[in-house]
Amino acid sequence: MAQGHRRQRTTRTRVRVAEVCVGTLIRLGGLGTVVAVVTIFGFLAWVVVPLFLPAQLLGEPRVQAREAAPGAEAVAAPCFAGEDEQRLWQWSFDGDGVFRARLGRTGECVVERRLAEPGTLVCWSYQPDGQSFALGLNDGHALLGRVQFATEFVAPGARPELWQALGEAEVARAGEALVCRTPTGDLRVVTLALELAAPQLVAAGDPLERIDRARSDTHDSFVALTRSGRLALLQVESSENLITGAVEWQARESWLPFAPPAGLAPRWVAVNQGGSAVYVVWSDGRTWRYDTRRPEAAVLAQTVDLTPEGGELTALCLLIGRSTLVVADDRGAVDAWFPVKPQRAGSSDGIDLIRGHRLVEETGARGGRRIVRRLASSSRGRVIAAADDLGGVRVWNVTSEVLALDLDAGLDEPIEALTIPPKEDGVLALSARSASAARFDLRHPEATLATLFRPVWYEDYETPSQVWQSSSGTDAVEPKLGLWPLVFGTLKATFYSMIFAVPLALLAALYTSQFLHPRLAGPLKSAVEMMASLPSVVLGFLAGIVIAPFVESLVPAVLAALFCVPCVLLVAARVAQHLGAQRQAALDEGWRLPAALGCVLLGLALAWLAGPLVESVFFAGDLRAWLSGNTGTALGGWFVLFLPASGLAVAWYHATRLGPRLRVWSEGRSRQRVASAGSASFGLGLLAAAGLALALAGLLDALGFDTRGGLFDTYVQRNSMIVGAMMGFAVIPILFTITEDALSAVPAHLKLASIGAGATPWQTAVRVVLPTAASGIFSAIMVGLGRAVGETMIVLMAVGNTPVTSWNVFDGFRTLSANVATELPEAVPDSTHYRTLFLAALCLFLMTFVLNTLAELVRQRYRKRAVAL
Amino acid sequence: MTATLRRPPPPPARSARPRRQRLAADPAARGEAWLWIAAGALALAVLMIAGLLALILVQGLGTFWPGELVRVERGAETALLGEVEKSELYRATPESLGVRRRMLRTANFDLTGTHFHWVSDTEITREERPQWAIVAERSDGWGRFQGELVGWSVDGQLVERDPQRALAACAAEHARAAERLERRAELVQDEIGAANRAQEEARIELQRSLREHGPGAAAHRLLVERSDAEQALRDRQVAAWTEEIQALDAENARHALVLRAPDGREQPIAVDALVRAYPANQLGTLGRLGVYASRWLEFLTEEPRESNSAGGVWPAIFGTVVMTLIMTLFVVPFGVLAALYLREYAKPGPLVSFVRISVNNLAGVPSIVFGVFGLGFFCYLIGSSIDELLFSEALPNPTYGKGGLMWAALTLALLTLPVVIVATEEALAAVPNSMREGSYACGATKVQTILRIVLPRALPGITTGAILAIARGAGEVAPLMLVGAAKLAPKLLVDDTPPFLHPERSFLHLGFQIFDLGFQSQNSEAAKPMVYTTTLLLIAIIVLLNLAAVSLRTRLRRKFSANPF
Repeated sequence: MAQGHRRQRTTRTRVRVAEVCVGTLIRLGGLGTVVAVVTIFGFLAWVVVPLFLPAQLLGEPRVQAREAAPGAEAVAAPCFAGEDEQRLWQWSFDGDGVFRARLGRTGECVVERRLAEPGTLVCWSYQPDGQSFALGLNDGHALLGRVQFATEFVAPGARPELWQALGEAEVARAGEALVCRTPTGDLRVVTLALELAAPQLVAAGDPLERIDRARSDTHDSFVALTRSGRLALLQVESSENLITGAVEWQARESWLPFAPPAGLAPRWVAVNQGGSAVYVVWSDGRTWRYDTRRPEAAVLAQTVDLTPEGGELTALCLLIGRSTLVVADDRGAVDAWFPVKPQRAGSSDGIDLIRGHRLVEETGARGGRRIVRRLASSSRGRVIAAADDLGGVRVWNVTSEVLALDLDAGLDEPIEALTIPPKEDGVLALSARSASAARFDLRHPEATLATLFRPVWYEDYETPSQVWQSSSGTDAVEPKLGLWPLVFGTLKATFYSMIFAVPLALLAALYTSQFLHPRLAGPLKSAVEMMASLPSVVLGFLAGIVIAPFVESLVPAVLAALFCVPCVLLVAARVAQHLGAQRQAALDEGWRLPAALGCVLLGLALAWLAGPLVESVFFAGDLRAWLSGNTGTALGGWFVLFLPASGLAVAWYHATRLGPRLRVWSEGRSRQRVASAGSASFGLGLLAAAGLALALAGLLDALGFDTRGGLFDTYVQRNSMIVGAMMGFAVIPILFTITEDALSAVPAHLKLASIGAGATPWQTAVRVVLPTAASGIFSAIMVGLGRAVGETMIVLMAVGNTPVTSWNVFDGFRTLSANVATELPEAVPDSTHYRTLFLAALCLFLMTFVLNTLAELVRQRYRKRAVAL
Repeated sequence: MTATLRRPPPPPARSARPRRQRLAADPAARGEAWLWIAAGALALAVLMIAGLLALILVQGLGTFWPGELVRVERGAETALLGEVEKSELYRATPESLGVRRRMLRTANFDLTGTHFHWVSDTEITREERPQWAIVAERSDGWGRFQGELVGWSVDGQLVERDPQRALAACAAEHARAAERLERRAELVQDEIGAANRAQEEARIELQRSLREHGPGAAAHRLLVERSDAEQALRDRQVAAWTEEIQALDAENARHALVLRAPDGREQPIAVDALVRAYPANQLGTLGRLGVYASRWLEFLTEEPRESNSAGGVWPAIFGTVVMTLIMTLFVVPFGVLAALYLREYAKPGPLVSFVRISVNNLAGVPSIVFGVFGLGFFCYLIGSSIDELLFSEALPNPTYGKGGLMWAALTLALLTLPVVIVATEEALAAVPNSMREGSYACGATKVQTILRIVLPRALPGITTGAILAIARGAGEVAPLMLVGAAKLAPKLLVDDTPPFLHPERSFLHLGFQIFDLGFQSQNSEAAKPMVYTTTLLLIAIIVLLNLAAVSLRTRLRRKFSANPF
């Protein structure tokens, strides 16, 4: 404010406005931080939560009458049915041998085609994932066919006539195609393509009683049971004539050694994908499994009872991949059986059919027994639908055993045919005269807390297990989303890096803050601080490309270094006792660090020299062969494990028992003699430690225990040891800095009082400084843990990233973070996989949240105490 | 905290004491063993850090140094010509210890299918350093070619056999070829690229009009006619440019340096495919320095070649810098506002402690979680919404609905926010209260005090925070893998189409390049030198930024402590 003017008594408006605006802005900035954190957490949770929401029925099922085309006679009961992806079409094959396709929206029948002459149809089968069917006729022929839908997208300009036909209606018909609009404004044309092969003769004049077909892109086979009790397996090969485009079918027929027992005829026959196993199932649950890997030499491999508790089977279907049989019985139970290869199988081919899942126990009398009459499997995942005689339809995910939905189809008559459309977005139930189409959103029935964190019984697995295998070659192999192996990997990485980093960082910080000359301590601290910002991608690259191959060639030396370096340092400490007072003072003045550096180098050199020796003495000359369990005894491994423990035990004994006596003895003797005695006891202690470790190792070895298979096992180049060491680089700077700050912040008067009371600097450091700074050190460890838990690039680059759960130091793992980094870019948004990866990120967020909050609380307590001091 | 207090008091002078002071001599009380272990831990940590830096420094600096070419003959097998990359002793058989084997970088990938050969000394029958062995770096995707100079050819005829003059002719023609290549790039990128863009725009416009008017409408038909006419014009222009390009290519293809591979085959190397050729065994130290410098220059300023395993990292440097700058634009104002709120506005209470807990937790959240958030929130949620509103004609191809520069910068801004907040808070706390009070006493309002008194004083601290945030942001890779770093960016971040800077495009990043080259590359051994130099560059940038922050902090601290008011 310039002088000479009349002083302004009022505040100018501009200033007032600025005051309000800037103040608001600043307050918004402060709140913004909260908003950011809440948004991150909230968004992650928002993505994850739908994983656990129950399935949702979208509106009531739409019931329509199944009318025949104008002029045709009445419709027969349906045999099987299906829909296209968009659910524009709704088709059924009916008991009168006619294929009918209707408009899904109105139920109007637009295509009608006779496939079998009236009265000839005996049996049928339909396989949703191959969209293929097989019909068994009473003259011994089989009819094979496929119902397909070709979808093409056309720009409106390309087919103006379709555009005009569509008009304002949602769906238009053009011949055997239905047209609708896509969200982007193009036209979607879905054309029905019914493919029917010439009849295949299976057994002339012998009606086919039961039939089942398995078709995939590479393989096509069907099995048929004739009235006279013969069982045939036919491998179908279709070849396309390149000139005419006609498809020729050829079937290779093999007769299976089937001798039907007296009594009822089998209720079902089934063949798996690839035609390597054939099942014959009676309604009382008896099941014969044929091994047809060589069809011409097929054998009856196993006889199982699918209803061990009694009861009659009422329905059977095969899950996608045709490995799992889902059966329902008249007591209301629904079970899933699949073949596994156990160690000791009760069959000739080493395969056992076992019951992996019970979807429903026997339903009780209360509310009536819901006996399942029809089962349908999805062509996309491991979802089945079951229609019962009360008119209800239940939808399960087989692997997770989750009952996703239980709905009433709204049909008056028994449900004759049931199908799950290709996108698993509904269910279509047909009775003789009406059809009921339900729409639902299953959300994620395959993921529950139990499937994510508990063992799950996956198909082909002998026992329930925890597996992470998010992608597979085909739809038929289910993705296995067990998070435990990843959580385990994270814990393993954290554990190994912390046991490496914590002692090193704490000791280094203690030395820097209490014993190092301040002139050295300053630059050292800033150097270490700078290391904290070293990009982890660099550490990961060096770990994976440089350190891992280097260490691999020197494993015995690395093991030896774990003992050589401390030993050399301890020896140096003994030697220092022998030095004169002046030289000891020089050490205290700052020469100890360079001396220790020399000792560390010497220790490393010794270890390098001792490596081959260690390898030949303890590990039969070849560590990697020893680790693989091929050679040598367990002695070496136990020795390496016990040496630190026995060393500590001897040190403890020395400190508590021997030390006081030595002190009494030393009274009145010269420094040199006391030092010599100390050195002698140190040497004896070393020998005692080695002897103790050897004795323990020998004992355990003699008892037959082995370290291999536990902490030590097969060596993998990029392993936990490497990660532990390299993650140390990432964690040590943080640990060091925070610990050093905490130690330096201990009030000087405490230290001075301690020194003044006659304590040595070491005693002061251990009994005064450390306890005072304990909470600061604790919070340093928490922050370090947080960093280790979430570290991504190092673990991604320095281990093999296989999701295994073993504590083996020489094996890799896959952490939550590395898994997210590799898989999330490829995950389809809003899929189960995508949400599960978000759950993994949320787990990481929560883990670090807890650790940081803990650290913060302890730090605040510590601050209060520090003020009190 | 003064230095004298931190330093342990000198131990009581032992010599002056009577010998019966027995406790002082007790080693357990002095903790000698533990002292040595602790000192050893510190020494080991220092050794590890120093070793790491030394390794990167040696490998990174040594990569571009041109070595001598050694030719070895191995009896009946083909001879090899290459630089010695590694040399080691190994056990050939259990009895014979310490046979030397060397790894030669033999290059000539197009002839041999490998970049490296191991040669053990026992196989070698003859070893020499051919006088006119040439290293030719090619830009045609095959990498280096090494061979002995045959001569300089024009139109397939050897016109110059004298090595020195052949190299001189090559150098002269190389300069002219560079001009031709420049003209060619101009034609391809600018002229034909513009034509392609115009064509794409016309297509989108047609599609839009179709949706608006329907296929038969008159307005639409008019537009079709007009765009057809424009397209015909463009086609004629493109044909002319293509012709010129072909002429340039033909002229370039006439000249070639002919080299003889160690297996005797002669290989002409067209002058336009040649990046650099030098007689490796003829160069003096100065010559080598020249090659070394020119390689560094290429590394820092050129585009990568051979799927990133050679050439330069300029796009990655550029991507890193632009991304970090945008990040700074977001994070600094936001961070400063939050810190001002915490220091100057907030009254102690649950809200403030909540903000503090938020900041602390934000600092501890693993970077990959930010990546996950960025991908889900920015790319898939916000980006897709932007696409639907503004770029619907490009759908289903995402414009903003995928990883890109903008989203990466925002994600990293969130990640580095705590750094800025903490540094700014510290700086604000260091401004003495007396200054604020003085300002108030003069009648200034709170905002005036903050803007004119507090912020200027705190500026150095804020700058330090910003630099630290930049250093952190430049080195972070994990989130970028999810939100936009790419191994190849076909479209540049900055080009001549409006709006010139394209924040939706994916970009190259130094850190991601390290990961990608080291672990996803087809030929990771050949890419290794490149990774080392990239690593060196990245570390250099980060260390420099950190040093800048540290020196700024100390200098300003000194300045302010010297002048308390």
